[in-house]
Amino acid sequence: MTTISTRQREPVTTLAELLDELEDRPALAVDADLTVEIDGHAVTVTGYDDLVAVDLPSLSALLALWRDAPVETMDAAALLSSIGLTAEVRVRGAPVARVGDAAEPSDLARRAGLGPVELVPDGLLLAAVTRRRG
Amino acid sequence: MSDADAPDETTTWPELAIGLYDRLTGRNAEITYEFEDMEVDVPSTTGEDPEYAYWRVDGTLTVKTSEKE
Repeated sequence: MTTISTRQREPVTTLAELLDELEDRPALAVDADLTVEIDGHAVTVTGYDDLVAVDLPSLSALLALWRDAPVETMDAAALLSSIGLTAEVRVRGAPVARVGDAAEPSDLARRAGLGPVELVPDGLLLAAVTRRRG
Repeated sequence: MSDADAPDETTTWPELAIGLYDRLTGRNAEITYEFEDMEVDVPSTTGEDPEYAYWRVDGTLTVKTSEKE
């Protein structure tokens, strides 16, 4: 278990407190080359500094993992945005959503208060069509 | 070392994240994790009776502070 000094500061226990702590801190950069198997779904994670691409094998895998994710999408989006990172979710290489700093939410998403989450309709359509053909 | 000088142990994910951040930004550090078929059961929640997802992770992850604005 990692032990890290946290003196001279109240313990951070909530996402809101974490976001406050991260405000005005420098952004992070990530290099990643990972293969992750989640409940039988093979996911590749590739990091390019401020962009982390998460590639899934199918739309059904995306829906299953999104439904069972341990972190709410909006919370993850806010956290990623606060540290200058963007996660691009892809299905077989086609971007279907961006979450975090570089996401450009639609007016509808913005009005719905979804935070920094951007859906990519062309990618979603391509993923759906190729699934039917495949 | 007295109790007042002893570092507190990290007990929450937000605390762990802040501690990691302080280490990176305080020393211009770069942290690299290398996973070799690491298997972990990830809980769906920190509450009672969580469901667990089986994760297996293989590869390399490097985190550092960005020079970009």
